[in-house]
Amino acid sequence: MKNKILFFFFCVLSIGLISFSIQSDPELIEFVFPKKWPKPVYNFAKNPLTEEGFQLGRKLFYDPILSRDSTISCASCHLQYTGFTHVDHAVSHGIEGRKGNRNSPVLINLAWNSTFHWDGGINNLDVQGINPIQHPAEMDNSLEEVIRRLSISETYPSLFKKAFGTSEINTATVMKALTQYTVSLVSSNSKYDQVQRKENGISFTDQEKNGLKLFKVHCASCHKEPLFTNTFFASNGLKIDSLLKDVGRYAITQLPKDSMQFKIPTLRNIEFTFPYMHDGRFRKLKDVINYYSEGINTEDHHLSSQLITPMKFNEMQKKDLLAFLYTLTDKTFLYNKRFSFPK
Amino acid sequence: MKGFLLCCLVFIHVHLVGQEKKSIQFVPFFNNLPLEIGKKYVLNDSTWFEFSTCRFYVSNLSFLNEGKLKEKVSEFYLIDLEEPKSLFVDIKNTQFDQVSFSIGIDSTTNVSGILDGALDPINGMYWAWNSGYINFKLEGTSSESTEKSKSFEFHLGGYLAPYKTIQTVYLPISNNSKDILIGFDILAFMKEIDFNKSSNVMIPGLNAVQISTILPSIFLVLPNEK
Repeated sequence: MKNKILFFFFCVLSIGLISFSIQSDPELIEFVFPKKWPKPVYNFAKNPLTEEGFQLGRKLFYDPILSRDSTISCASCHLQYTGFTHVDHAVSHGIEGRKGNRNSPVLINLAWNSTFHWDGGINNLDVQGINPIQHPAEMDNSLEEVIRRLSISETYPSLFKKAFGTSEINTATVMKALTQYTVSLVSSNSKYDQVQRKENGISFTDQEKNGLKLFKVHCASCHKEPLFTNTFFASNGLKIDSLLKDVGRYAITQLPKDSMQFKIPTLRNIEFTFPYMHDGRFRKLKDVINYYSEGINTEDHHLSSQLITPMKFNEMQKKDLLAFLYTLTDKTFLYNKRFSFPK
Repeated sequence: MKGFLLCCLVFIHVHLVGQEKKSIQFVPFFNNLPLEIGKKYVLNDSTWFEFSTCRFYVSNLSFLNEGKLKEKVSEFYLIDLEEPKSLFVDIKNTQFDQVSFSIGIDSTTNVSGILDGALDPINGMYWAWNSGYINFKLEGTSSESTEKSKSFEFHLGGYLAPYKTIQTVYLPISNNSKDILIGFDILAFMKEIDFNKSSNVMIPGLNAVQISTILPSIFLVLPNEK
């Protein structure tokens, strides 16, 4: 009898332990991307995507707790509706009205990138977030302070426990959570994508078709399909801003060949990510096309070889190209509730 | 040198350890005196130095015997003068006649994303704008500095070719029956610095590489008199 009771308690205990361990395991989620796309370069094995990790990262992304005076969050400069950039702002804005040197980059399809920032100074998505947190012209905070605030908050320790199995918060778990959110920002459902997948009988207009032809000849070697970037660096001949004095990738590598080279940005959702270029100097997409068509100083010795022959588009061609670029707008991405402010 | 040895005996608190355990103790010194943070070292009427930070990474710690590798430790150690405990590294009690280690962090680790422990960027040995570890950090003030504030800052790092800065130190060990004392001579480092060229190095590049090559020569094995 005694043995039976003991066995009964053992069973109850085991079931309890099993169900407890099931409950406490974060729910793994699959990183979904279109079949014909290249494989992502982000190493998911080191930071497996989970629902709890993603939601924690999302909360952190929208939380001004990360900035020194708790006034700005990541989302202040990376707004979803504009492809996660700071629309209408030439350069990024930090706390106390401080201004940065560069246009805030879009956060789109980051999983296919191995370098980040306009100069590629960041070598892994997991460490990207450290820079805006510490940068005096951005959040001007310290990692110690961020971890201190999160650790004493009412909500965060339990969310970290759910996501990473421990309520002890450190740099690695903060960064991994943020990455789980940002790496999930995949835009792959524009009209262009639907046409490629031959979905619902959607097709390009004649104007868009003409634009695509021009694009393939003049733009696609750098803005390579389907990501619309080859993720490398190039100089498009823009004259150096006399105040910002930004030499681009040279500041990172100290190699003369990298002088004035900047990361080639994706063109996905380009309709909404204005202003354009690394310093936001062009307000309209039309200005960008005009620049590439007839504005480049082909004598510039930094200029990438692909741009040496002027494109010289006529007015009709410019309109065609613009029409094609608008097909890269992905409203299911820009309005995806899963990426929006967590309520 | 005799004066220095005496200082070693007087100032260094060698950990008393059992027969099973052994350690390497890193011993910072300057002009034959133990190096302390916040203390002014006067060399002559016009030359003085004061240090506020001295931190560096030790990795690839290896023990060799008769030219053969006996043991390689995968741990990364952050040696920090403000954290006296960090100067002691526990080691296995094996037979060896040579110790080698790297000053700094290898390229693979530099691109491995977010890491913790000694490699947590919170330790202030990480560049956030140009991802990568600072291998060696020395800050302070000196009569030799060309800055108005007399400050100097050497943040040596960079893992990308051609500006790799990681250095390797090889030290022969004549007696490994006791704890190993590895001294590092910051005056020897300072003597090699051309202050007219740079009182501050805070980015990877040629300057950082040239100054980093000084590092292996400042390490030496000290006799353990205990």
